[in-house]
Amino acid sequence: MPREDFPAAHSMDSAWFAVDRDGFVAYFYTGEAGAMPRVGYTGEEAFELQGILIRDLPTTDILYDPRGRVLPGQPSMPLDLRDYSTLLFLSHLGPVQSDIEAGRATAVRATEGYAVTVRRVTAELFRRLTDSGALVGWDYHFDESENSFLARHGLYEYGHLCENWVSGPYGRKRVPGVPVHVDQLKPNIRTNLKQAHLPNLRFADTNYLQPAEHWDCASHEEHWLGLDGVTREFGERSEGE
Amino acid sequence: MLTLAGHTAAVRCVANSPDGTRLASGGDDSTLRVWDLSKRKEARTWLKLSPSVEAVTFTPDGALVIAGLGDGRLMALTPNRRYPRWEWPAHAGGVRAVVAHPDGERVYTTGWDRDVCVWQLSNPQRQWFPGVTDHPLSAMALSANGGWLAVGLSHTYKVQLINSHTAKPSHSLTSDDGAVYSLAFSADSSLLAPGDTRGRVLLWPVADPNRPRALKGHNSIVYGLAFTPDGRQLVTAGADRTARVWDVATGRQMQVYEWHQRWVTCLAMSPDGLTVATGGDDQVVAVWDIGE
Repeated sequence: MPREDFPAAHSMDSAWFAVDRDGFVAYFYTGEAGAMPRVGYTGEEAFELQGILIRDLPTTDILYDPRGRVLPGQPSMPLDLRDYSTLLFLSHLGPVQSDIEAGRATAVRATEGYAVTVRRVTAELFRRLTDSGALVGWDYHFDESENSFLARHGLYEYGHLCENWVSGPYGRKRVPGVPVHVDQLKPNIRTNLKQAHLPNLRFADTNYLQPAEHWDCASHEEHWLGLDGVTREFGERSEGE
Repeated sequence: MLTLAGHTAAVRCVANSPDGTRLASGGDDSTLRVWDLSKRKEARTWLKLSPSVEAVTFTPDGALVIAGLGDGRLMALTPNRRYPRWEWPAHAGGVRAVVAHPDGERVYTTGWDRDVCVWQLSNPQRQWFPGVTDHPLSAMALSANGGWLAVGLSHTYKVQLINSHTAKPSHSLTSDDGAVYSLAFSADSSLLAPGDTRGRVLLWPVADPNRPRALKGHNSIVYGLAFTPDGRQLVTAGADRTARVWDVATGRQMQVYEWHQRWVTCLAMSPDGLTVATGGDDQVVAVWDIGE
């Protein structure tokens, strides 16, 4: 597959959109190596559309998804104790209840279980989380960017899960409280978005997605990792397609 | 069931002629088509109208087809003429809905510019309804007596009623979440039915808006709905690929039809209330009998 011109020589750093069976819309951020379909809004056009949608669409709640942070079946990374705002996924709120009451933690909506954001994970909080066994997963969380999340404006959001070693699956990171339908968007936007249509899946039910299983894709990498765990060269489809 | 094939992209709007002999359909293939239902074939096609034909209606005398286009133009076409009788820039960003007043003298439009307008057919020019809303609008319906104009907001659940004679906003109907996508009045103007983006249909007594009834069946956006002329049944169509017939008195779902391979994007009731036309994202128009 020929190498293509992406914003950074070492990285895809691009975005794209897709429409699901019911007409709901998702945003995909490639990170360093995520594959990107050659249809619909991609690359610079996708970033421009991102700005338009944030400007034009009303806001809704965000539900944070604990599954879309690591590859299917993989354990969460060890909790990072550096001074970063952090999103914690919990099976119950017991170990952070005092932090919520003291304003050190903020409860947010999650697709399953519970979630809170904290300014940083202290050693003492880390001990409580470890002792309770309530920690399901975590991710970095930057409050200042929350209003620029497209989930805040009705779109599902996915991120690439394999850094820079292969074009891996995308994981669903954020779910909109009220999803926007493609036909709620202007005719010119609607028509372009529908070029990347997934007629057989619903983002509401889809935690992981590999675009190379659905479209001819561009990538910085030469191989992609399927949801079946098999690595293939671009141009090679998985069995049964 | 009669299948009308010809569109080469999604069908976005359908409308019956007042005498029920013709059907107009428009779509993402930039065409507007008028079908002769007795001959079961296309009678007239207008090509390259715009990126898309978003909304269509006949005037009450059946002489004109009024089409709202994706580029924002409003166009009046005579079925036996190739060129439009008139066209006018109506709504920046595209037209979303067109409805004809039963007096045959006016049509109402709304579009992506968030405006609600009325057009005198004898001397078409844009007259704006001031102060209706500053939110995007998605749907419009006119009561059969022509007295109430209802507009639905695109990104929140609100239906604003407007006195069509004075152009003044009256009361509004609101709900908890979702967003209005389609609207229909019953023939006696007593009920208003909004369909929303989450698949919900409400039956709303216009005089008592605090007591809506919910019809649950669709699981995704409701693109179109229409009451039968006797008001006893409501037909709905949605992105779950189904059209459904409901008993209005009980709220019971009577039939579910799956004529289309993809989203059922629009719906029109025949004047006699016996047949329904649905357009789909599968590029097909289906005409079928209620109870079929």
